[in-house]
Amino acid sequence: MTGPGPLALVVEDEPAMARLLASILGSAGYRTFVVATGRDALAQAATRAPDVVLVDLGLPDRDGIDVVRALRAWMRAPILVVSARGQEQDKVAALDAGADDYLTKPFGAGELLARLRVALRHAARGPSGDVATFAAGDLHVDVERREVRRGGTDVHLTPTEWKLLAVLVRHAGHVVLQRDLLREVWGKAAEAQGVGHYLRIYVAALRRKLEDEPAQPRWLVTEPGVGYRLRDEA
Amino acid sequence: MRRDPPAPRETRASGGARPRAAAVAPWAAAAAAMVAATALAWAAEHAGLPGTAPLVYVVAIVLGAARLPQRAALLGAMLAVVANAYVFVPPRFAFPTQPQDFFTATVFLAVALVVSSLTSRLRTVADLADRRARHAEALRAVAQALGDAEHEPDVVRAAAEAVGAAVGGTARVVRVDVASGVVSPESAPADADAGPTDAERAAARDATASRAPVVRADGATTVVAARVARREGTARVLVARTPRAAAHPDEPLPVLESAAALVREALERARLAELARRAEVESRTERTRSALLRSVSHDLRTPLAVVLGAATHLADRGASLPEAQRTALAREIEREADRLNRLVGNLLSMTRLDAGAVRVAKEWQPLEEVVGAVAARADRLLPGRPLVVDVPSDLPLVPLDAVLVEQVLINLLENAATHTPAGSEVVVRARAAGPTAVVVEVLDRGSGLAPDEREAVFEPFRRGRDGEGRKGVGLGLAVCRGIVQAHGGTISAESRPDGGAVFRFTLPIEGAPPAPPMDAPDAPRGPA
Repeated sequence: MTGPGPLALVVEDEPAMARLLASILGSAGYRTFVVATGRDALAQAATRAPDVVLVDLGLPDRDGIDVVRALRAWMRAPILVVSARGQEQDKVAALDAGADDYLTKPFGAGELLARLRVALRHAARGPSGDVATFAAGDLHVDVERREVRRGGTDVHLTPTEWKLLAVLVRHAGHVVLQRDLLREVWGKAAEAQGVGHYLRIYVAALRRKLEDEPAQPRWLVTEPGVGYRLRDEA
Repeated sequence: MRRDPPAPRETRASGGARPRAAAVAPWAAAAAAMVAATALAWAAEHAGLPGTAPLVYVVAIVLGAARLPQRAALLGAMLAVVANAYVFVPPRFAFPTQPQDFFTATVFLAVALVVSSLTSRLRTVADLADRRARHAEALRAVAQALGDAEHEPDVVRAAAEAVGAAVGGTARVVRVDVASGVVSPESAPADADAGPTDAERAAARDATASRAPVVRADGATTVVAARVARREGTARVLVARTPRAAAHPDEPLPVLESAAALVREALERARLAELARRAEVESRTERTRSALLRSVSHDLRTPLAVVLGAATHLADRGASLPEAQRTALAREIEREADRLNRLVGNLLSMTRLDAGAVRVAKEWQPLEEVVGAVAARADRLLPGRPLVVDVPSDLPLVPLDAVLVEQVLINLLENAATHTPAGSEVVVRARAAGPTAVVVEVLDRGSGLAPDEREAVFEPFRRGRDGEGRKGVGLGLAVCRGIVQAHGGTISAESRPDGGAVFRFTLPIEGAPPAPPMDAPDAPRGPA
């Protein structure tokens, strides 16, 4: 990246955590601006136009989820939720409110930076988000041409597997909610029917075709209780 | 042991024509007895035994009076007087006119009266004894039903059922607000009806104020109410409704009065038992809490000591330390912090499991996926120990909460890590156990388990037998058990015959998931 690094708005009321985040981000070339309240977060996001926002859910003045929702209402920059609330429903709620990703405290510095990279790369690709290719390791997917190659050989997918993979490729690097996958692949009805196992059956099938060790997937990983993520960096 | 007096049952059971026959029967029997007596006396006289006729008649009168209603017995006696005078007293075949005939008449009638009143009194006594026996039997049944009830709702339900059976009708326990007189049902009769009738409500209200049970007639039924207990402005009343018995309209009264006393005792017993249970839970919680504090002070401080030591060392001397050593210290902090994090996770899980706050969100899952998610973290969970995953990809889907079962596997792996030498292999294996369950095993090559440890390891705050070198508050396996049980499964541990330990849990499979819509075997290739 040329010029000053991307600006990260850190919304965190714990001074120690805020300092740590600033330190980690600073070492990776980010400029950081720290606010401790939801009110300040909204004000600073409007005036400073950050490239990415990190939001802690436990803020003193208002719920972080509300902050995410308020930001998402007008802001395009990726939002990463960083919270000690580790319950799956909290993660789903944050993603629903418009967060791009979710990181549970405690986390490692490497993981935080990797998630930020993914979020920024996504934002750089623009809002249309129709990314047609995916490459990681020896895996190459071209959605446009309906082509999957693994280690140089073609992989054949069924139509449903294709639909599923296409959705994951479009959101590569991001967690996709189980509900959203169900809706996009099997339609609105499936989303309401509680047939999450359709998804798991096809994910298992995809893994057998895409992964070296399907039982210990490297690319198509499960976010327990939340959804799936197609990892684009190991 | 239940004895009903034969007569009432017969009248109750008979149809339209039979009661008339039954009403005529005693009179006919009396007449027949006298005809028979006359015949016998006639035969005796002709067999050379003159003067025996009055004796034969007396016997017949006594027998009749003992068996028949008083009026029939008196008719028999009169017939005997006439027959005796007509057939046996000279002048024969003439109607009684002699003074001795009047004397005979007096004796016969007196015998009939005395015997039949004695019999009737005996019958009354026997009847009473019979009713008492039935009451005692009914109350015994009530007492037994109440004895089996442990909690208050059980007592109330058992009381309604058993008392209903005892009075031969229905019964219920109602609550009456003394100030407002509002009656609310606490237990309904078995055939769920519309709730207490107006008569039942009125009887219940009356009974709250009275020591003795209250009786009310309500059409063809009798409503009886007896107060069970009265506390803090509300009274509990036992209300029973029975078909009205013509002979004993107050029949249910004594049973209900005694039953109310039994219910009162049972409720009191349930209340005391509940208090005792609460006290027991409290003392167990107290014990657990002090065990927790002991453990926490040790198990949280050990990793904290490492973190603090390494961090201060890095801060003070970091600049002068070789790069490799700095990294090693930082990694040490990372590892111990990781352990602390899992410890806190288990403490939270244990609290939530204890409080019953864990909601098991079962969904049909391939076990492969759950095991895979855990295996992905094997480097941190099992440092320096190779993990072998043996999960067939054709295992059936299992209804489970992926997040919780993942925690079970994580805890089992962490347990293996703390009880096995570095470099030893750990295996996660899953197999179908018939169509209704899967078995998941975590096998290690550690020191194994003594027989008395097999159960004990799953108790909270237990540690393995060799005290030193053990980490974790001994919560991990307790959490495993809690989660597996919440899934309806079982968990156990034992030593492997060739060394090491195996932790095994089963997850039940009920029903089958709906199959996803059909999919073509292959997608058409090339540009869409």
